[in-house]
Amino acid sequence: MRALFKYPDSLVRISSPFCPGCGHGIIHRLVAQAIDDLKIREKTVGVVGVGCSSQSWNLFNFDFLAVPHGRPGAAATGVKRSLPDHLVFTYQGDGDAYAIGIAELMHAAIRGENFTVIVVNNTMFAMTGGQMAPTTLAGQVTSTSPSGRDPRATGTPVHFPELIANIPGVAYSARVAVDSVPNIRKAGQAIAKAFRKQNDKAGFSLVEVLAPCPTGLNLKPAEAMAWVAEHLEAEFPLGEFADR
Amino acid sequence: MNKVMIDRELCKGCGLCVRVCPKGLLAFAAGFNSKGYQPAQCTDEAQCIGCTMCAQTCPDVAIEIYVEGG
Amino acid sequence: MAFEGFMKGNEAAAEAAVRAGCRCYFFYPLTPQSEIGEYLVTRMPEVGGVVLQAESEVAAINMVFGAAATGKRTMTSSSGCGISLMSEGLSYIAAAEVPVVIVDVMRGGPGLGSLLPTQADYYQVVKGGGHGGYRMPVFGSADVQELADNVFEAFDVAEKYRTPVAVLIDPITGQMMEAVEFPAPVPPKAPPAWALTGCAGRKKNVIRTGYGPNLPPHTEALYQKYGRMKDELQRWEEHETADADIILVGFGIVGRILKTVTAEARARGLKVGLIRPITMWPFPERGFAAASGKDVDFLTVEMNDGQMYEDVIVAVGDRRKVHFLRSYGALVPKTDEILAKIEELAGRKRS
Repeated sequence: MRALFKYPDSLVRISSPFCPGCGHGIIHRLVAQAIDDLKIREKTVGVVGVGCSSQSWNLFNFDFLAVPHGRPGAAATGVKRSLPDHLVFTYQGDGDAYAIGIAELMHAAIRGENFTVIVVNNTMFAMTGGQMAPTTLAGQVTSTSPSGRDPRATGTPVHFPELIANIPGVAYSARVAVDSVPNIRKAGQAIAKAFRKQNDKAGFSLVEVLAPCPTGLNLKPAEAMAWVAEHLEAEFPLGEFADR
Repeated sequence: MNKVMIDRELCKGCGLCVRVCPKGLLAFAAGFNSKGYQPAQCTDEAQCIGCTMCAQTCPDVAIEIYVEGG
Repeated sequence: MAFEGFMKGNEAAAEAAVRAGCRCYFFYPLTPQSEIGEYLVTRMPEVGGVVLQAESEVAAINMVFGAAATGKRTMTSSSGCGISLMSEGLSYIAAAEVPVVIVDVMRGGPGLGSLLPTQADYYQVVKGGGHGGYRMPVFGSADVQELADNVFEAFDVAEKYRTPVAVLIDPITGQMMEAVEFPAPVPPKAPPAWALTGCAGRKKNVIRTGYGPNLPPHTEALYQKYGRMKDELQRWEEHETADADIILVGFGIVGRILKTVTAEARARGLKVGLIRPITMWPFPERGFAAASGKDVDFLTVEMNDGQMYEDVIVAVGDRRKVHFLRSYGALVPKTDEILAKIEELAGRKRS
């Protein structure tokens, strides 16, 4: 029998703790697949902060470091500078990356740190019950924006891949989505491209992935996917913003 | 002939595969797995064209697709 | 080869680290310890090490966490307000059981405070400024040579017990120049088995600190370790305690001053002795055991409002026998002040 699609080596074959229909599961597979294709699993170190993402250390089948909320940008700097020939990446939610962790990511980009940042953008702090996050849409109801986010009071959604695109140290900055199979394939390609650029020592790479949180959105999985396709893609354009 | 292998225990019954199969071959199985989810199943393996869209969208990587005699 | 010279405390600490095999240092400038970073930006590359000025102390301590997790000897340094920012990181590092050395050159506080010499951060460093009830060994160096020795040894202690280790000094010791000797450099060792080096030939290593409902076995293991460290790491220096009526207690530069005071007091016919804790944690309670049961009074002298004082009370076991003198205005205590207090105590004892 020839496999057309099989479970990647870089994932442990266990039931994930993610909710049914969660975007994390798809993105974990894409990251694992990219690592398998590069044949670099045994020279990979992942770094995770806090959120639903912080469960990734259990699912990925390689060395992992779990650090405080928002700090993967700094911790990965320490890891990569100590192990410059290893593949090092962070795996963060939009809250971890763009709220508490934005300074660390900004400075890693400014320094051109040669690691990859994967940000899963589901527009909320999902793990803690669905609070408003920097990427929450204007008018979006969350547990801390019960009347819908008011941009006059709390700002507009953060477009981080675009924000860092002009920094010379940024080799690759892109946004993708997992809301359809064609988009899933492109997301996998972007992640693989980011890892290849790291191997080429090109500089800092970041891939933001628009993802559904069915539980936080209070939608069924298929509806949550449709919501991402309709509402998130309208706010956050897909594409490559830097490719050096 | 393609083999569609859905791991009943990994599946969380999210239904994304059911929605995405271009031949409409996937449906929820009868009964529940040990976690209480109603897993998906392939209702007619012979019709499977091996597009792997179900496997690609599955958040639990519960689906593997093989070609026999490959 | 071994080296001797005349060096500023901060620079001696930096050189000691390199000689101990430290190869990763991340920092943020903050007076009065910036010289450590300024020294290492040149020195670290000479030995093929990693040195990076971070964008904040928050980032620095997490860079330290990352590098130390790969099994390299890693250090940072800071002062009061910077240690506050590093506290979350230290809690994680302690929970993750990753060896790290941190040098704290104190300054005046709270708040922005000042650059005046104080010992105001005893609580913060010794009691664990971060959350969750971790402990870490703390050395309190009294002069530049001891600072170099403590930093050199701290890496071995950190590795042996898989713990962060702090070396705590006042700003005078960090800034002044004294003669100092260093041993021959120790080459860096191979990463230990738990380190993140890539999972070739083994199962994956995970370094994490969140255990959900499974927390108790992990805190229990930490507490057992703290018990072992309490048993094995207590260190102090004592002078003329055998027949003393009054025993002075001070750490760091105050301990150094108290040696002079002890000699002066003895010259005046007063039976005075000295216990100078060298480890702030574990506090050297064993050093106080010999005096228990005797009619000995203890005078703690600190450049703060009484922080180590409370540990002395616990060690002695009777707060009526423990007295405290602080230097007013956050300045270095003068021998006259201390002798006056000793005379007063001695007078009260006689009557």
